[in-house]
Formats: sequence, structure tokens, C-alpha cells
Amino acid sequence: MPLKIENLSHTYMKGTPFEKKALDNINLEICDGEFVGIIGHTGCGKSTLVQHFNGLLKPEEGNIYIDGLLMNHSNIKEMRKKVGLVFQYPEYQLFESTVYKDIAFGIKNEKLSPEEEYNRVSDALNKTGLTEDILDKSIYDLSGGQKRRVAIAGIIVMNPQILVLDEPAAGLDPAGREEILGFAKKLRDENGITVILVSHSMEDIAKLADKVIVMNNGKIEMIGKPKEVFRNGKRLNEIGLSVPQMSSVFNKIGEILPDLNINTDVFTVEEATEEILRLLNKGETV
Amino acid sequence: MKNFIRFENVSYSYDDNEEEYGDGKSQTKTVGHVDYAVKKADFSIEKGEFVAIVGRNGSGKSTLARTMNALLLPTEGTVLVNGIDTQNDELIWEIRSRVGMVFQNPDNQIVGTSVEEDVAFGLENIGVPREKMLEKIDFALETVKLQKERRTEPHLLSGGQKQRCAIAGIIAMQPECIVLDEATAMLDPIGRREVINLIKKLNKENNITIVHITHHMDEVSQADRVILIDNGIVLADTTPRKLFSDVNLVKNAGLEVPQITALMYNLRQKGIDVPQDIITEEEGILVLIELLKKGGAC
Repeated sequence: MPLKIENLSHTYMKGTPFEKKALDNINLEICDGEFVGIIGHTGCGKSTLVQHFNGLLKPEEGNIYIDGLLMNHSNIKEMRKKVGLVFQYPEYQLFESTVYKDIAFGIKNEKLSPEEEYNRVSDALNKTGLTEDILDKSIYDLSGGQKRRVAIAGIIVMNPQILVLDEPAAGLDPAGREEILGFAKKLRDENGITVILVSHSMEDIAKLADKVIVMNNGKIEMIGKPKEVFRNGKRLNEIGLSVPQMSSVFNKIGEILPDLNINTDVFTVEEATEEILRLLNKGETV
Repeated sequence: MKNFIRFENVSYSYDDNEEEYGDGKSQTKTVGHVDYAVKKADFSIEKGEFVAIVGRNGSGKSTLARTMNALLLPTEGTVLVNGIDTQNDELIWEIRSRVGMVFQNPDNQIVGTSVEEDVAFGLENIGVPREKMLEKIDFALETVKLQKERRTEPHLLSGGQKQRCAIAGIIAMQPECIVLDEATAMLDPIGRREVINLIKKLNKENNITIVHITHHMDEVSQADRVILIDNGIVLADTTPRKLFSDVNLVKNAGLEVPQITALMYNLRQKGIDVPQDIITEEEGILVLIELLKKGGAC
């Protein structure tokens, strides 16, 4: 289910002194099963962009195609089912009395039999790494990380083909962060769902994304593989972003020891360890 | 001053809390099974310290923080701020003017329709004369570097600017301590850097005590002292350097060490002789350069 954005622009508070161009002629294509990262400083247009993906905002100018079909007035409901959007802090939107009811809310109108409904709900819950024993619990009895996963299950239950996660790990502790991001990766790897991750963590983006979209002032500043994008550390800094910590360390080593043939395309601690070991081994054999 | 904020055997339970509020002082001893969010915390924060508090979600960090300016009153034990018991109703505003709080979501704590109005809010409440007020607002805005934005509507600010605006509102009250409860969690990298640089400055130059709750371990590296809480219990109260040297303790508490520390740990596991108490990027780079030179890699 490819997603194609063509010449998309959006202006907030048009015709007032506060007029602000939030999106400026965006062109973009996201393929089936891709894991896409979107980065950009606060106010760069990331959220405005992802809210167009499922028609929460309608294009002022430009077109959105899902699966080759132009999104328009008559098919917008269908489109919304295909693209699941999880906002920041989705747990604030839980409102039902039990976990089961909250997750099932989105499929109420599908007129499923009770068994079918239960299967869909428990399947969605399992995908987020939770088990059925919490289905009857009250929302208030859950931990922060559990609440967030229940909220995401409430989107997954609708079987979206594209899942947009806006800062899903914000405010979670490192273990909770690993869990949430791990299950997003699993959804892509095992169920082939396209995942679009908006994040301020360069480390997470570098580790997970196949493709990174860098936004700045409503425009796409860069687009490419993590390697290609994070080579532009200087430019990223200028637009309020950074490179993953390990890249920054390796870039500085490379500057200080220019003769050292160091590979600076290093994003994770594991990659960094291997690169140091490689350099040391090379030294021994010389 | 010694013992600026003193926790004496402090426990806090969210069960039956309303009852206690009702009759003020007379606290009933809790019987049977009670879940405590904070258990027997007993330590002090000194004037001028920069303390980080870490722990997994639900470990009791925020509960502990909220007892520091009487937003929550301990179920058992006593919290003293500058020698004043937080249970003392009459001096509660005295305590809150000494200890200010910044919360996670900047949008939930801004009330004014412009930056300067927001900063003025606390001053208006305590009836500061206009002349004095302007002086204090100028000082606060200058400190957080928002002079240019003073007439801007808060919703037009970036995340980092909003948090700085919230901090300005506290600085205007001339507090001795600022407690930041995950105040950097929602910010982009630049916003985080702005806030961290600001609190470091307030700590060093204005001698304001900082208590900073965070999940970002690189921010913890900047503090003088770190308190690790798990399941309501203080597991460690030490320097960031010592805490991060104990990778297993940190992992078992659901946290992680800074990436540069993790890299050193991995190298040590491979039998390479690098120090294990490296916690900042700068130190790490120096160690790696030494190592690579010595190893003959260049």
C-alpha cells in the first residue's frame, strides 16, 4: 500500500497576520513495508504532514494517493482505515471503563460477532506485547507503558496497512522505550505493515529506519538512508537536530586523527564496538 | 546551608489520601496492606547542589518530587524545607516560593497571553508592586534569554522556549530551588540543550539548587549527584560517575547507561583496557584516541 504525496502545501491561519506556511510543496513516496523515520525540530511541520496521511487535515494544495487512489471527499473514511495514526501521548485518549472496551471501540461499527470481535481485540493486544489477562482491567490500573500500548492496540485493531507513530516513546523509561520500538519493528518485520516513526531521538531513528525524512521549515530538507542523512552532521545541527551520539564521537575522532581510516557511519553502541575492534586488530597485523 | 531539603523517613501512599486531607494534621496510622509509592526516603539535598533523580516509570520519582514543595504531604515521616515542615499549613506559600516546579508538558503550565504576562502571574498573586514587578520580570527574562519574545503569545514559542518561559516564571519569584519533573521529555534535541544549559547556569551562577528528574542519561552525567529510585526505594545515592560504573545495577533498575559508557563497557568485555567510569562524550573521545594511537591503528 504505497503512499504518495504530491505538491502538498498547508498554511495555518491563512489571511491573518499570523499566517504560517506549515508545509511547502512536499513530494514524497513511501513504499510497502518500509520503516520510515521523520525528524525535524519542533514546529518544522512533521505533525502537520502526518495528519495529512490519513485525512485529518485535508490538502490545501496538492494530492495524496494511497495505493494509487487519490484521497478525496467520498473515500476518506476508507482511507482512514488504511492509515492508523497514533498521536503523542495516546494514553490520554483512553476513555472506556476497561481495556477490552477501549480497544474494541474502533471496530464497533463493523458488526462483528462477539467471537470475531474478541479475536481481533486479543490479536491487536498480543501484537503490542500484552496478554489477555489485562482485558478486564480498568485503564487506571495500568502502568504508563501499558496504557500507551493499549492505546496503540486500539489503532492496530482496525488493521491499518500504514501505522504512523508520533513520538511513541516520549516520557517512557529506557526499558519501556525499547519495548515500544521493538514491537513497532516487529509489526513491520512480521506483518509487513509500513511504519512511519516521528521521533526526536536520532539514535532510535538511525537504528530502526530504512529511510529518513528530514523536515525543516515546512520543506523536506533531506531524504535518504540513515547513513546518507547522518553524514550531514553540520547541516543537521544548523536546523536544530543532531547526529546519533556514536556518530558524533566517531566524527570527532576522525577529525583529530585524519590518517586513521575510521568508518564514521556508526550509529549504535554495537557498531561502534565493532569498529574500534576492527581498527585495533588492523593495528596489530601491520 | 546544610539540609536545605531534608527527608526524614518519608513514605507516601496514594491509598486513603483524601481522608488525610480532610482533617489536616491528625493522621491515622495505616493498617493492613498499603502500597507505598515512596518508602522510607531518608536523605538531604544541600543548598546549591545539582541533583538528578532517575528511575523507571512508576518508580516514585515524581511522587518524591511533589513532596518537596508540599504538593503532596508525606503519609509518614517529615519533609523539611529550609527547616520548615511541609505539613505546616500557614507556611505553605513560604515553602512554595522557595521551591518552584517545572512539569513535563509545557502547554499545561503556561497561563498568560504573552510571555511577560505569564512571568508576572506568580508576582501578581503575591501582590508585588508594579515597579518591582517590572524589575523582576526583566531579570527573569534576561536570565532565560527571552527578552525578545516578551510580548510573544506563548503558543507561538518552541518547546524549549516554552519551558524556559515556565522557568522564568519561577525565577521571578527568586526561589532557592527548582525541581524539574521530566521537563525535557517532550523537547527536540536543541530544546533539551537550551533547558540543560539554562539550569546549569542557574546552578553555577545564581546558586539555585536544581533537582532534575529525567530519563535522558546524558543529562544525568551533567549533575553533581544522582539518586536512583526503584519501587519507591532509594537504591543508590552517589555521583553519576559511580552510578554508571555499575552497569548491572542501572540495567536492573530498568535504565541504561550513557552510550559512551556502554561502549567502554563493551570494550572491557572484549578484554580491552579502558576505564569504566567514562560518562561524557569528551572524556570518551580522549580515551579512544589514546587507545587507537597505542594500538597502532594509525
